Amino acid sequence: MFELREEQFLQLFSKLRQPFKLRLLFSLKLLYKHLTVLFFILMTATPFSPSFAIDDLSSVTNLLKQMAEANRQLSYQGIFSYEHGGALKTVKVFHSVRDGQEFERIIHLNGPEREVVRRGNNLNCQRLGDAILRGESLKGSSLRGAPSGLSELSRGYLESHYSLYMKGEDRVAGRDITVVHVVPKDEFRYGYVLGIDKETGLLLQSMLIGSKKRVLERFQFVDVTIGTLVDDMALEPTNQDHHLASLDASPCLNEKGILPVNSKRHWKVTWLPPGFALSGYHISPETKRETLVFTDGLTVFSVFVDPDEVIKVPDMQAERGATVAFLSRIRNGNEEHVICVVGEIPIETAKKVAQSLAPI
Amino acid sequence: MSNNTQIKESLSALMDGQADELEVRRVLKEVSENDELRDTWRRHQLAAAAMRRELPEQVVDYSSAIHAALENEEALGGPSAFSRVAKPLGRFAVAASVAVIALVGVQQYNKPAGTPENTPATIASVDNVQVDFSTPQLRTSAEFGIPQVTARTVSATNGSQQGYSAPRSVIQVTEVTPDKVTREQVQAYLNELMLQHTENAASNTNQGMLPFARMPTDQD
Repeated sequence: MFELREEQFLQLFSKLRQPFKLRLLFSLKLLYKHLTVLFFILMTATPFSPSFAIDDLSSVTNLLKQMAEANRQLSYQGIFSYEHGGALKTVKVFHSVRDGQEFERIIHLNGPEREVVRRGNNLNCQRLGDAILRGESLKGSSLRGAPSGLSELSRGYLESHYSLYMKGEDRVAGRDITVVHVVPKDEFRYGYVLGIDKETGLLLQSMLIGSKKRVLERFQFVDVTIGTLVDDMALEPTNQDHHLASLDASPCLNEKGILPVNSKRHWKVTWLPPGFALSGYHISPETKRETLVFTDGLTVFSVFVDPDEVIKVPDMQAERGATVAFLSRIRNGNEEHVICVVGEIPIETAKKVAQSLAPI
Repeated sequence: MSNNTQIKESLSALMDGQADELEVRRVLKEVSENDELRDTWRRHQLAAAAMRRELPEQVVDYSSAIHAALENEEALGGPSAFSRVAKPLGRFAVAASVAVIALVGVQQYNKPAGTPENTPATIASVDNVQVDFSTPQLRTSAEFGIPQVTARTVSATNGSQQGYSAPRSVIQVTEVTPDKVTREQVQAYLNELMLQHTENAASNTNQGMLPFARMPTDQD
């Protein structure tokens, strides 16, 4: 039985290796043949579409833009499930906007009690991730000098690293969604399946897809109310042990689209996966921990550099769900430091970034 | 002791088809030498078989039977030239048979059922599958070309057909500095960093509070 299945897949894959245009032509009825050819010529003529962009790409990017705005600007409350490696968590979420600021609270409903509150994220605060997802053009932005060689952000930036596909409709939490597949163009990052609310643009479902097309994690609303006022009380933590999320390492871009870095940076990475750029920086006054945050618009990873005395750890790698951590050490003069790269990225990417770290 | 825990983690990784080459070798070596581990391996396999409802009516443990037979033979025949040779050979046979069982296991579990071995480079294949499934009737999960069923699906409901493995968090030590830090300290340090990364991810992606769902819990 096992062999049979494998054989079927081999057949499938050999079929896939046929040139795409050929397959497309075959799959459509002969009657539409000429229309298809015309369609293709039109599609390849548009600036963003590589040879097989069959979706209306601009509508996908518009959708992502809408999503980027909705997730921050809307008030909503609901319960979502989060699944990784067979474990299922349910989480209650409240999100509200008051006086141009975001207020959020999430409560883990099963397992150990967990509560996180985040306050005061200004709606006008634009970060690099936002800018990329909104498809904004930032000339001479913070990206200048990034090791990726990126000097400006232009519309269509996301599409140079991911293929975007509109994949029809589905239903999540009783609402109609548009399904978008985000497929990475290289092996340095993971892919996504996004379910975006048709009416409001809110992200209602998200799956992270790893190598061999494995689902690494799945987030999905079970029930959600969008647009109604969220009670003030609902935004106040009830658990004394709650975690207050910090925005320290995520400064807003200034009016020129540049990432302000006030303190002197000591570390830089000399290699980044294409498309990633520095989107946040922080040095902790207490612990001297230096944090560098990188994003390509969808994926984020953090690089932490700690003084050696914080922990005497061996080189190691760890994973939890879709998150990996690569720990290593680096010597700068007489000082030894601990490096840790953490993110929802393949471990090879984390390792390569860690190994490229160098003092400025 | 901690070595034992580690090897058991590797064993469970092997069951999940997630062990790397080095781990596989280590497990094979350990399994052939360590009775307790062999037992663990057998219990895991039985449990997995039970979950797949493939449990045979009668579970026969050949390794102990063979072992017993060899022991018996020795008792009956007394020490002879033949048995002096046969005994170590028999032992070797037991070890070899275990190794074979383990190897079969590796072959099955390393390969998610839906993934042919000659799958082209990840990106290309994802793209290909994309294109092939562009007819929008299929379910989302299938559309991304996720393997339909893996060799081992851990799920309470029968409906889930994703390639999930058992929940686990793994720490792989590649270069050991002995006795300087405890496992708990490393875990605590990693948890702290993962939490900080979560904050960064929440403010730098537009997925709202989703990253906070990833927050480490004590059980992980």
